[in-house]
Order: sequence, then C-alpha cells, then structure tokens
Amino acid sequence: MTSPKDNKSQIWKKDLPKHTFILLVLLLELFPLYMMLQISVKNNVTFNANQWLPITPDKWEWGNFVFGYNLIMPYVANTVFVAVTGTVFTLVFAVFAAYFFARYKMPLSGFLWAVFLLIMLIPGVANIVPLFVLLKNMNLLNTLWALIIVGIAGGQVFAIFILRNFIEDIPKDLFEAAEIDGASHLQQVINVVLPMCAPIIGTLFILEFLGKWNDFLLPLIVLRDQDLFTIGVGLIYLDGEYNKDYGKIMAAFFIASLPLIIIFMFTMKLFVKGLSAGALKG
Amino acid sequence: MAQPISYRKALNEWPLYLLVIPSLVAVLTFSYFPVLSAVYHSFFDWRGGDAKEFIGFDNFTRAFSDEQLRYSFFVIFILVIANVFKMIPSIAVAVLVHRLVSENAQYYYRLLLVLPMIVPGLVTLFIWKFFLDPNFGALNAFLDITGLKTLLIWLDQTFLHWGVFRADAPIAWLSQPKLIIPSLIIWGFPWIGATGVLIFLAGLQSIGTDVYEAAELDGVGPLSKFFYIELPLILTQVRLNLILMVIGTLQGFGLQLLLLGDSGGPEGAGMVPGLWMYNRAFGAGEFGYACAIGLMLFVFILALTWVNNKFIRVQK
Amino acid sequence: MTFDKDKILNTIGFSLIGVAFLFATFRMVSSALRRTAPDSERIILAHWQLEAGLREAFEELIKDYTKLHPNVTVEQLPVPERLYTNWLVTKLVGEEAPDIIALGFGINNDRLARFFTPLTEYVDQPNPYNVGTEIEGQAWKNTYLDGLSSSFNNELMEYYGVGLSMFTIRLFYNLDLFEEIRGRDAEFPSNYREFLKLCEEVIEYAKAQNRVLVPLAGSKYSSFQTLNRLSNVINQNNIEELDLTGAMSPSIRFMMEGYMNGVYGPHNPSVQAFFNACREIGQFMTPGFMALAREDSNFAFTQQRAFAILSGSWDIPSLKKLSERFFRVGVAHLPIPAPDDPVYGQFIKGPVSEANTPTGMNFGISRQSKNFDRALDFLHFITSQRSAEKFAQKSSWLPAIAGARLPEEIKIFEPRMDGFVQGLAIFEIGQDTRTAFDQLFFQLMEPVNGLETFSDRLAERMKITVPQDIRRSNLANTRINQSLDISLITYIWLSTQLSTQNKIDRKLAGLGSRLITSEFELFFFQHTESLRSKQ
Repeated sequence: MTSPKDNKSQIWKKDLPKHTFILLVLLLELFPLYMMLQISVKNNVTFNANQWLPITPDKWEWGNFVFGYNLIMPYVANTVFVAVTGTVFTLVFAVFAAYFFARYKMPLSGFLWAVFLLIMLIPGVANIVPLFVLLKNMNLLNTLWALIIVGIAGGQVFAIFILRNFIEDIPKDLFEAAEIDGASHLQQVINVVLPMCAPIIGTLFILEFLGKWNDFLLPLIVLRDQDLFTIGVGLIYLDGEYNKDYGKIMAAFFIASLPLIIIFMFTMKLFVKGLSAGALKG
Repeated sequence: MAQPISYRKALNEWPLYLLVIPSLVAVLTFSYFPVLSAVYHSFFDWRGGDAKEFIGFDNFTRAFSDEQLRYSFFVIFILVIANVFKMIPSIAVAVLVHRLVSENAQYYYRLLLVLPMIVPGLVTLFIWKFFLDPNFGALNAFLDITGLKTLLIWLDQTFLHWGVFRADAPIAWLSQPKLIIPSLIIWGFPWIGATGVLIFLAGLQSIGTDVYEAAELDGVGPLSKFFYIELPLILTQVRLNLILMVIGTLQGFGLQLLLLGDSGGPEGAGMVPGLWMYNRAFGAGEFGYACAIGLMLFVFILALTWVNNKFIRVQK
Repeated sequence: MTFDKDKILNTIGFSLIGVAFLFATFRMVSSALRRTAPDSERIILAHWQLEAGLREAFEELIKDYTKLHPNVTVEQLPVPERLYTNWLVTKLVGEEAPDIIALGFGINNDRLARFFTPLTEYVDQPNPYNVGTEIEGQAWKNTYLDGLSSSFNNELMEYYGVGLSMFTIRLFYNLDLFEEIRGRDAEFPSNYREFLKLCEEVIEYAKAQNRVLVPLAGSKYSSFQTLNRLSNVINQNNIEELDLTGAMSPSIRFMMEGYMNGVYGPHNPSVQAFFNACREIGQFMTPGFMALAREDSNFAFTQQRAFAILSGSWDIPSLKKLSERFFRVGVAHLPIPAPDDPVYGQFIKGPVSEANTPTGMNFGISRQSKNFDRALDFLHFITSQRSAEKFAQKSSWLPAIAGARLPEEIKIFEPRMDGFVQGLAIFEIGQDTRTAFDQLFFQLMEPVNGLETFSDRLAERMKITVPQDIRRSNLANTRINQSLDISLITYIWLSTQLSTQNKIDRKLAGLGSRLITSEFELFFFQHTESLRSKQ
C-alpha cells in the first residue's frame, strides 16, 4: 500500500491533463467576462492604446461606472420589480395548483392536468403576435404589468409539474393531522406544504427569477417609455448608439451583471441545483 | 400519488377548485387563447387593427411560395445541425469533470461553469458582437496572430471564390452575407452550456469510483471508457438535451434579431423562420401572415416533438 | 453544520432580493405619482438620431418651450435606428404611439394615411412663433429654404411632416496630418486631380511612417456619399441626351426609357467614366468598405487610421468630440471633377447646385395623439427661426428655416445655391438594379480587368433587374392615378348631391376639390352610412 500522501500526488499527476483541459475551456468561457471587466475601466485613449491587457488602477476611468450606474440603475429597479413580483405570484399560484393536483384525485382533475401538460408541447413562438394584440386589448401595453402577468402565466406549468411531485412525497399523515385540527386547505398549504417544500421553492424561485431577469423580447415590444425600461431593453438601446465608447458600454454591462452576481454569492448551491432542474423544463 | 376521493367527499371539498383557478385562468388566457387567436387570424388579411378581411388559405399559399421563408428554413436547418456538434464540448467537459478524483475540484469547476450564466444573456451577446467587430474584434485579432487568416484567404482564393477574406481588409463577419451563417456557428465558442454540463453531470453521478477502478484493472482506455461506461448512462440526458436544443433552435430568433436586425442582416442571409414572422408582424405590419408563419412553425415543432416522444418511448 | 451555513447564506440572499424589491417598488410608486400630476399636458417626441449633441439640442428646445408653457411636459424618446421600424410599428398598431414622430424608417404611404394627421391645412398658415422676425406672417411652408417642397407627399397629395434640417455633405479631414504632409500654410485642394495627388501623398506618408492609414475612411454609407458626388457631375450630360421632353429635370423615367431603347446602359461612355472614377477614388478608401458600417468609418477617422471622411454637419459633434484629444479637424468641399478635367470634362456641365437639397428630419403628428394642438404648437416652436438658430448652434445640424443664422463651424455646409442640375447614377433606376450594383461592386475594385468584368456582369444582371424596376415603378404610378381618378369621379358625382348645410358634405367637398385623396377616401368611407341614408 502506498501512503495517503503519495496517493494524493499520484492522483494529482493522473488528473493533470484533465485539469488542464477543463481550465483551458473555462478560460475561453470566461474570456468575455475578462474583456468586460478590463475594458470597463478604460477610456477611448487607453482603449486604443491597448485593447487586451488590463491597465494599472491609477489610469482607471471611474467616470465609466458613474455613467453605467446612472444609466442602468433605474432599469435594474424596474427589472427587480417585474421579476420579483412575477416570480412570487408564479410560485403562489403554482403551489396552490400543485396542491390541488397532489392532494386528492378530484373529479376533472385528470382533464385539468392534461390541460396544463399540453402547454408543454406548445411552442411559444406562435404566441407572440396574438399576445401583443391581446395585451393591447387589455390596455396593458407600455406597462410593467404586462410583463408581470405574462411572466406569471409562462412560469406556471413547469413549477406546477415540479411542485406536484414534491407535495405528493409529503407524508399523508401530516395533512391528516392538520385536517383533524380543523385546518382549511389554505392553512394546510401554509403550515404543511410551505415548510416541507421550502428548498425546492427556493430553487424554483431562483430559476423563475433568472428567466424573468433575462427576458428581453416581450419588454422590447411592449414598453415605450424610457422610465419603464427593463435591463434587457436598456442594454439593447445602449448597443444602438452610433458612437461607441466601449469603456462606458462595458461599465454599464458590468453594473447590469452586478445584482445577480451578488445574489449568486449567497445562493450558489440553489443556483447550481436550480439550473440542473431547469433542464427538465420544456 | 394523489389520494382517490369519492364523489360525495369531493363535493365537500369543492373549495379545492378555487386553488387551481388562478393558474388555470392565467394559462388559458396567455397560452391557449393566443394560439387559438393565431389559428383564427391566419385566415385573415389583418394588419393588427380592428379591420380584417377573410382570405381563406391565401396566407398559407403565400407562405409556400415565399422565397425568404424557404431560405429561413434552410438556415435553421444548418443551425440545428451545427448545434448538434456544439453539444460535444459540454459532454466532454462533464465527463472530464466527473472523472476527476477530487470532489472539491468537481464542486469548484461546477461553480465556475455556472458563472457565465449569471451574467445577463444580453451582456454576453453584446460582448460577442464586439468580438466579431471587424476592426477591434477578438476573432480577427486571433486569426491574425495565429496566421489562420492566411489560410482562410488561400481557401477563399482557391476554392470558395467568395471574395470575403482578403489580405488588405479586416474580415467583416456580420456585414458579409456569406459570412453570416459561419458567424452564427462560431458564436459562443467554446460552446459550453452550463445547464447542459450540469445535467450530464447529474446523469454521470450513478457511476461510482469502483466502476472506474474495475475498468482500469481491465485496461480499458479513456475513449472506450466513454463509449462503454459513460455514454450509455447519459444517453437519456443527451437525448433530452438534443430535443430541447432542436425545439429551442427552431423557435429562437432573439440572437439574430439583436445581431442582424429584423431583416436578418445583409441580403437577409441570417433569416430564421421566427425572425421572419417577427419581421412580417412588427416590420411590415402583416399580422395575419405572421400568424400563418408562426402556425406553420408551430405545427412543424409539434410534429417533431411528437416524433421525439414516440422515439423515446420505444427506446424505453 | 454546512447545512446551517447554507441556510444563513440563502436567507441573506433572499433578504437582499427583498430589500431591492422594496426599494424598486418605492421608486415605481413615487414616479407613478409624479407622472399623474394633474392638469399637465404631456407630449412625446420620438426620433432615431443618436448622433452626439442632437439629444442635448432637443433638450434645450424643450426647456425653452416649457418655460413658455409651464403646464406642458415634453419628453424626448430617442430610439436606435436599427430598432426604429419595429418599434414604430408596434407602437402605432398598439395605439401607444408618441405624439410627434420622426418620419423615415418604417414609414410608407399606407401607414402615413392610416396613422398620421395631414398637416396640409396648417402649412399654409403662418407660424406664430416667428412673430417679430422678418419672416413673420409668412405661410409656415414658405419659411423653409426649400418651401417645404420636399416634404410634400406626391402620392397622397398631402404634407405629413415638417422638417428641421437640411443635409449637405462635406469632407472632414485631419488638419494636423494635412499640415504635416503639405506644410503649415498649405491650402486644401479644390481641384479633383490635386485631391487625388494629395491622397497619393497620404499613402506615401503612411508608408514612410510605417503606419496604418488610408486617405479616405470607407464604409458602405460614407463611400456611397462620395461616389454619388462623382456621379452627380459625371452623369450630368446624360440628362440632356436622354430627356426627350427638354424639361431638364433629372428623372429616373428617362433612364428607364433610354435603357429600353438601347441608348443607355453600363457601357454608355459617361457611365463608363463614372465607373472609372469610382475605381480611381475607391483605391484610396478603406479596402472592403462595402462591408463596413457607418460607425466603422467614423471610428477609423477618429482613430487616425484614415485621413479624411465624407459626412454631413450632423457628424461634427461626434467626430470632433471623439478626436478632440488627438488632432484638429478641418472641413472642406469634396473636390470633384470640373468641366476642365482632362478625362471627365466632356461629360460635365459644372458644379451641382444644392438648392434642391431636401429638408430632412421630418416630424409628423400621430392620429393617436390626444394633444394634437399642443403637438402642432410644439412643432411650430421648434421650426421657428429663433429655435432653428439655437438648434443649429447646439447640434451643428444645418437649419432648414430661412434667415436662421449659421454658427461659424457649419457655414461651409450651407447649400451651394448656384450651379447645375445633378446627374443620376445608373443604379438609381430602381431597387433591384441598386442591389445588383451593390453586389457586384467588389468586382469593379479588382485591380485587373475590374472595369470590364464589372460592366459586363452588370449589363447581364440589368437585363432582369431593369424590367423589374420598371414594373414596380409603373405599378406605383398606376396606383396613384387610380386613386386620383376614383376620388375625382366620386367627387364629381357627389357634388351633384351635396348640400352646403351639412358639415360632412362640406368637408367632403373641400377635400375633394383639393384632391386630398387619402383623406377624402377615408372620410368618404367613414361616412358612407350617412351619405347612403340621404338617398
């Protein structure tokens, strides 16, 4: 037998090519982020002198971040409002519906389940044109509510699908005990389902939030006024400028990425879990 | 499974229905109604207003002889094929990460892989657009430094005769009609999809270290290890990813819209069906025709999904 | 234990989201309250001009206007050019259109008639904001240098927009580089041949200094401006040859007829001369310029990778701002061939008059506007002489209003009023021919046999494209004539039935007599019921 120490270095040696390959791929994958960060502190002079390498902090153009902050922060606020409101309502509705499907086999529940499942097969692409007209008739164009409501509807199926499985796995005794105590269905959802499903709800929250955060097509069509813009629309407008000051643009990109990076630092595990689960979507 | 319930008891539990109503209303209004509305309006000459004129199947006959639409299906076909190959790096990275002995390293790589997902998709998109810039882009700089550009010029002069790679000019990736599809394919190199990698990793989880050790004792090479041990295990995931990718590619047009505009770039070289629908509706104002295009795409995808589902069931 | 750590971190993460949400909601509510401030009129002005300085100039005018009318808020909505068409269509169809809309991208006659209020009856009345100037009391359209003739829609027979600026093109050059090459007191050449010599010197200089530098920054946009200037003079005599009516006005019709009769085509001597000039000047432009965008050429100039660039006064702030830390910018007329030119002289009458430079940046008023009068008043305000002057100062855009004084730096952009009618380039025949020209253009720039191969291939393509273009043009003409005829007949028929007492009848009679077709049709169909009931 070899000693544990020897073993470790041997493993390291054996895995070295793998590490090299993975790191190389990661380097390429993270290259855009590197470019964003290092350009965001450059002005036109320093950018033209050298595009690729970082510059020393004494030459940093802090004004870029002031520009980025002033430009992006209002968009961030709107996006947070849309994404959080949308996600919360998505999950509230979905928990209720999932509870309905998971608790009892009610008359019609098979049919209703089929109604939801069928949506998974409907590609969203055919929807956008009629959806626009529908929103117009509902007088929701140029409002954030349009984004919120459509977001809620769009998130239902997947969340219900996942939650139903989790609620069905909750021991029946818990529900029965609550029922004996005279708890209504609403109380059962709050007192039994929520605590038992907290981790998966957290994961779903991140996932739905991410989807709503990154949406840009609907806001682009729906919104008119600049003070309602979400991050996506704001970035698209920024990209449309004739005269590009790449330092300022990258600084704005950085500011736009910052909120999620901060949240990510705290909820890494939920993110990783959520993204693996997200693949089941569709 | 949900508890079976007698009709009498169900009658008592009627408030349960209230719980499903919000979801149901949301889904009926914003998922079902638009589709039905699209079906209805595809038979009309409709410009988005109140006025519309019934024209029967005219929108569909027009679609079948629409050059641009036909071309857009050709483009999307190429992109789907390219995307199949673009799945390989994700699988490779997942397998390599899984083969690492150190659990810690696995965890940190996983985190690093997720990191690009945290940056808004649009930011990545615009940074990539900047990479393709003829004067400042990373891609042209890379081709210059490595001398690959000389190879491209030679290829162009001897085989392609496109006249797009020239020694005296930067390569204009997004403004040369012939280079648009290649640009869309190069897009996102090295094509690592964080979600994809994570799913494959989840599938690989069931392989214990003992399996590897046993394989090693038998003298199985790294490549055969992949084909005999790993690939069979993640085949379901690969197939799932493939289906999602195909459906996503067929529907997607956001990238093309932001990169090339709604006319699909110079000469419409990057036009995809979704974008053409968008262009007809929100550029030309032909909402009825756009509904018809959307519907054709819809049926196309639905058929594919159905075939896929059948295929998978047979496999099981 | 790690589970607990995760739990705490997650809680912090979600609390952060919560705090951000509260903050965002607070912002939303307060801005919503601000927006619903009582008794204030709000009008929105949308355009796609994102050049440096222009948005600031609009802000200035808006500030002045709200000083005069404190209960009005005017919002400027700049939309990127690439999004403008989609944006406009979604807003028009969605009935969320801004009050004042820049006309251009995404606008066709159908949309004009459907979504915009004709301004015809207002352009004949004076602009109230010109009181106290020498153009006081003049009809609004007559306060324009071009009499607003370019804003008249010949097909709909209406004015749908009023303009703010005129577009003339000049040559921006790197003054420091010029002085380095030619010496401090040298004059910028005004002669075409001398200009070509200067370009050669620039290339020699670049070689000697071993730096990347082309004489002319090229892009599809900017290079075609240059080529157009050449065709404007070199193809001048064509008009006389092709114009059988002697009207002496350039018309695409004549080119089409000439082509079909076999007297005009790519092998025509003056067209060949133009192609040759394209080659001559094209060799000094950024290679592969047909594939470059407008930003690329601007950037090449400000980065001193190009000695000069052709553009309009609207680019003064952009080009100067981006280059101010590096070099000085000079502006000159682009030297073009003159009648005494040894090669092209025989085809040329003389410098082209810019008197018919169209008024650009037209603004129309949407039918969806709830404050039409206010929007109209604001248009009056920004097109008044005083505002036009101020606007030109702030933005460097050339004013379109008579008597508006020009700031020093755009004086050279003032349209040249004397001169001759401009020639038309062969690709003006129509859209399809233009596309063929663009696609084949790279062939023309080939060093060996470029001209011959290009001409032959273009001739081949034009056999298909010209008939297409003629068909399209005929179709458009027929449509105009048809709608005119219908209105006329209907009007004649109606005039026997109309009574002067009825308001609808009076309006119909008015519209019909002025041949305002689209309005007439719309109005007629809207009131068919009431007309029918009369019978």
